Amino acid sequence: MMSGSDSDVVLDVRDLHTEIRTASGIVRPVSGVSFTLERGEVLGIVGESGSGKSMTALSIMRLLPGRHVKITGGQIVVGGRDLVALSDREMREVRGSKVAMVLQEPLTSLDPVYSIGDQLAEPLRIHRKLRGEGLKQRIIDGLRAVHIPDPQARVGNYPHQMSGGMRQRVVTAMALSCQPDVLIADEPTTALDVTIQAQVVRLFEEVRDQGTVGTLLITHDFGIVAQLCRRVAVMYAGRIVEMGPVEEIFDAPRHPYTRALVKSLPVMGEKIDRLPSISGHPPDLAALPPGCPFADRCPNVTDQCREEAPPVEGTDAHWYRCWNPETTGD
Amino acid sequence: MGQFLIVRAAQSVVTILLVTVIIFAVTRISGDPAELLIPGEVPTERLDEYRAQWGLDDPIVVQYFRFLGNAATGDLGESFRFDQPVSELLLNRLPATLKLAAAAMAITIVVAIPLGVVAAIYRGTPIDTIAQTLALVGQGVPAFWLGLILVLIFSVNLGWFPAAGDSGLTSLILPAISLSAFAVAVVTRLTRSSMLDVLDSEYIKLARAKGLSEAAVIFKHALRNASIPIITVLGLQLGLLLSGSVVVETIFNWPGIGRLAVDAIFAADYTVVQGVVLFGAIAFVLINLGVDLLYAVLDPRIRY
Repeated sequence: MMSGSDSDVVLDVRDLHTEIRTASGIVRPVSGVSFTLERGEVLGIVGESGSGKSMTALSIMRLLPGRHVKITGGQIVVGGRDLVALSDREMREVRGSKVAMVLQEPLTSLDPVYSIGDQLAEPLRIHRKLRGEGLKQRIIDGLRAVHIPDPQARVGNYPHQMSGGMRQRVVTAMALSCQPDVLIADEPTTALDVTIQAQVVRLFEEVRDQGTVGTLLITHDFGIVAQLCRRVAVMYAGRIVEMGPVEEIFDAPRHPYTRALVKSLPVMGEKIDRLPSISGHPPDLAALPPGCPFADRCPNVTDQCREEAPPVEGTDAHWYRCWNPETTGD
Repeated sequence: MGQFLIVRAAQSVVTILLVTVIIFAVTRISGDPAELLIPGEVPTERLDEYRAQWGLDDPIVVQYFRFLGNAATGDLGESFRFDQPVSELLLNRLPATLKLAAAAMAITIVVAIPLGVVAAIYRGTPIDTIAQTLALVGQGVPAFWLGLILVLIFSVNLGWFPAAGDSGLTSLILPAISLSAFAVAVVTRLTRSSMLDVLDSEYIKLARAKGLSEAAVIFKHALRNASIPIITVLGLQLGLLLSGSVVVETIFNWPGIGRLAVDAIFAADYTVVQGVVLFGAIAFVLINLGVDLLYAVLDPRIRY
């Protein structure tokens, strides 16, 4: 399927499966997800809630919520090592060091009872063994890099003394502090208001342009994908249903789901009474049909779609899983 | 921080003053001390003489301020029954109560907090079920029953510990267990539920995402955030323990403040009752002040 290109691949996810055991059966929020992430790029993963994008992120971090949620197959290769096979201790050494994460809620993702300096120090102390003056300097440099004004003074601040946008920068500084290869940002702008969103997007642009880290951007905001990403993956019911260059996904989507998603976006300057929406509901992940999970909502559906899982079509650069794709001229 | 301290200290003083008014009023509402203390047919002159001797013929407000002024200097009056200063009686009984309270508190902290933490970490597993069942039993079993059962098993049958009295460390164990059972149950359940709340939060996820060890996540980040409600309840429990436990002190014939209070109530020894209640109230207020200061130490949002 996807073969990593020759350039610097920092994250290679191969056929990842994650399962949740529930009372009503096994749910598969991540079902055969594969992609590669290169250094210096931002790869977008979009999809509606419940499509498995956050579960994919948590699987990569191996921070799945609870004992009933498990990675059941596939590989997550970072720096030549398969994270799925690592022991808990080895995985702890990877978290925050090789692979770092920015969470969705900047207002609540900092511990309210410790100063931000304390919290910034933790990963540097564990992974880089920094102490004393060197540690302090790195923290201040880190804050400066994310444009926190007057970092010397801010280091002693507690989270409640900072605005949401500042907290999101602090969290980003924390994630970048150990110079990771992979940065996973799970809805980093969702909880922020629009002006702050713009600042955070600019910050991620800077991070991208420094070219040291590959960023996996999980979002449902196509606007941010358009600004930051070169490639985007569209997830539906735990699978990547289409993946390709951002312009092609926007202008010539091949999967009917992608097309419906793109069509439901408002276009600046165009006047319409009502945005089109996708009819029906996302499928019950505990009782997926044998064929394509989008079949029930798909305008192009045939009997084949309901019975057989769709093949991967297209090219390495732009592929999709569909029996009856949209035509390119659309 | 300084302002927070001053405001809370001032509030505490006001609370204690209000408590003195209530204590004074309530003991006087319960009857004329002179008639209560001199039973039988007594000539009125004798009663008047007695009232004059103890200042009971002064206006009530004067009596209150005398009580307040004396109390401020540590003079809580004389016990009618023992002809002994109330403060002396209290001080005699205080060590026994303090010992028992400290032991019960230690058991509560050492048992309940780890149990609650473990139950939260292993939520939904048999460990959690066991901890929750223990807590339910501890909360449901009355102290007098537990005390009697403990005496029956460990003193009467096994002979490991003395059944009653204050005769050193071994005599402390059974009453302390009986006294702490309820607090252990309450604090276990509270620790579990506040840990569950905290463990669910984003900053715990982020702490793990930073690569912190599970021990650092639990003890540095989760427990400190979960500690505010726990400390509140521990403070309340300590207040209760310090005012003396009537039931446990009676069962174990423990010479503490709780029994002093009960004896004084039955004998209508009102100065002693006033003294015990005042002591309990002040202990409560001071503990609460201490708890508030601890909040400020633990949580910067309260400090600033």
